[in-house]
Amino acid sequence: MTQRSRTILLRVTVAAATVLLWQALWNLIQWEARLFPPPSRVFDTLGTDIRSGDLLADVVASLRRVGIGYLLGALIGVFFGILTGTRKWADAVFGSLFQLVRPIPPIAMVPLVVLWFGIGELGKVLLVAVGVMFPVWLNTHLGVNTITKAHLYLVRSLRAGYWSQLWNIWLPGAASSIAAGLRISVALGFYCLIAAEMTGALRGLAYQIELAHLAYRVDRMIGHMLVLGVLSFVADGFVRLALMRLLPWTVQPERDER
Amino acid sequence: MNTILTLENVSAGYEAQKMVLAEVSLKVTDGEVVALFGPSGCGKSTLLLLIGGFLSPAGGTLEYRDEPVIQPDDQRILLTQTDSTWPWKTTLENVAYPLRCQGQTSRNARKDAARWLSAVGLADSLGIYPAELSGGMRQRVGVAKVFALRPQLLLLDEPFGALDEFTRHSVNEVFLNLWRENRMTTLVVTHSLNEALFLADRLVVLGGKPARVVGDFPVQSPRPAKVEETFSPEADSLRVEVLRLLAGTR
Repeated sequence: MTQRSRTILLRVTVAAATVLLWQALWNLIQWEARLFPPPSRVFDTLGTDIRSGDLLADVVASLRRVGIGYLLGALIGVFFGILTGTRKWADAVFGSLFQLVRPIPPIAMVPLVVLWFGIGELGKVLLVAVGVMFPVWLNTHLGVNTITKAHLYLVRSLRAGYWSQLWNIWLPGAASSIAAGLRISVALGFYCLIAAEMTGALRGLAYQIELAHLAYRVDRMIGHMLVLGVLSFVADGFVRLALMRLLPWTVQPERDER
Repeated sequence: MNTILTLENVSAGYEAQKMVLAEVSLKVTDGEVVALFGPSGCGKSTLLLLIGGFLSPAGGTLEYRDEPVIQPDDQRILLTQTDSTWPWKTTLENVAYPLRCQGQTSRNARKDAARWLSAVGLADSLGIYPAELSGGMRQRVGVAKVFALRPQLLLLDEPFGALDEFTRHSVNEVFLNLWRENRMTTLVVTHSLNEALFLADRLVVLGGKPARVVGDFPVQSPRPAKVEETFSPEADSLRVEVLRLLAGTR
């Protein structure tokens, strides 16, 4: 058995054992099933939601928000990171501005976003984009700055055009740092998604958690939390694989090696 | 022989009080290999940065082919001690990209790059990223890269200084073989007298603080084919003379 399949087997075993232990514990005590539901009940409710098609609709709504917001934030972040990394004037203007706004947790912006954009899709997508943009910007900027002088003498002598330099030097030179920014931003994008959906929506996993909370349906809350966890995990793996393909000269750490 | 590079009373420094170079005057003729030798931190690298156009002199005149040096261009190419291969490009692309910048078509650039890489003994490593190469192999990629550009003036800043002695000799030999076929004017900064005697036609010694030219010696001709041949009575007396000179200026 390879190292990799051994790791997977170990993880599946641990996960299954945890669920079984939880169920066994509940069978033993049988206390407050509404507040501390056993896995059997959580998975029952999840099955109901899957059969009714509600879960799929919520997953699609949430993934669309987080996906569009993530792409938007990542593109803006990389764009400004390259700009502030390679141009002094841009760093003076945008760099200073971003450093002022960056420390504000995006979740604190939720009430403002609701006032300005209502509870529609635009505000939610923008909130995810803001959450994703700053770490991607900062990592891109730092990545550009880590390209060593020795790598740049030849570039200066060749006097290549800006676009040629962008594609051949700045973007790939900063790529491993950009990749790190993109990886941490996956989780941040989901944080912002949750905050945005909890303020109100028509569909969405976090919105259902909030609804289930009001209806005292802890089983549904836990079920949807699990789905969110799986989605975030899969999204991280997806981004990792994409980066491995795009940046063959770098090593993309696995989640547990961070 | 034509003089292609002229320095007259060139001074340089990052602050007015702390000059690194003072009144350096030097003429380099076409096709010459000049070794710049001196204690570390004496400003040899600064001198190469000035000639490359990466720094402006604080005073004096610096002319390349009768034109003042204002900014870097692809006629004067610098190869530094630290690994200058781009880690994100394959060996082949490391050599081919600069050629495309010079206006070659993609196809020709790759063909030319492959030819230069096989000339430095890396024909089997074209598709590999630098991280998978040894230090000596990476510096050979650097050598292929600068020769492929056909600069008129090569500026080598201790290019093989980070390598162990054995690897260094082999890279030096690779360099000399290519140089014999191309004969481009070369300024090479080195800490190693052996390397200077092996590579250069002329040995310029820098010393003092701020540094100036304290000695200028012709090196034996004909050029040695092997490192072992740099140990002759003439070379040894040159060694002694240079070391005494440096001891006196400290």
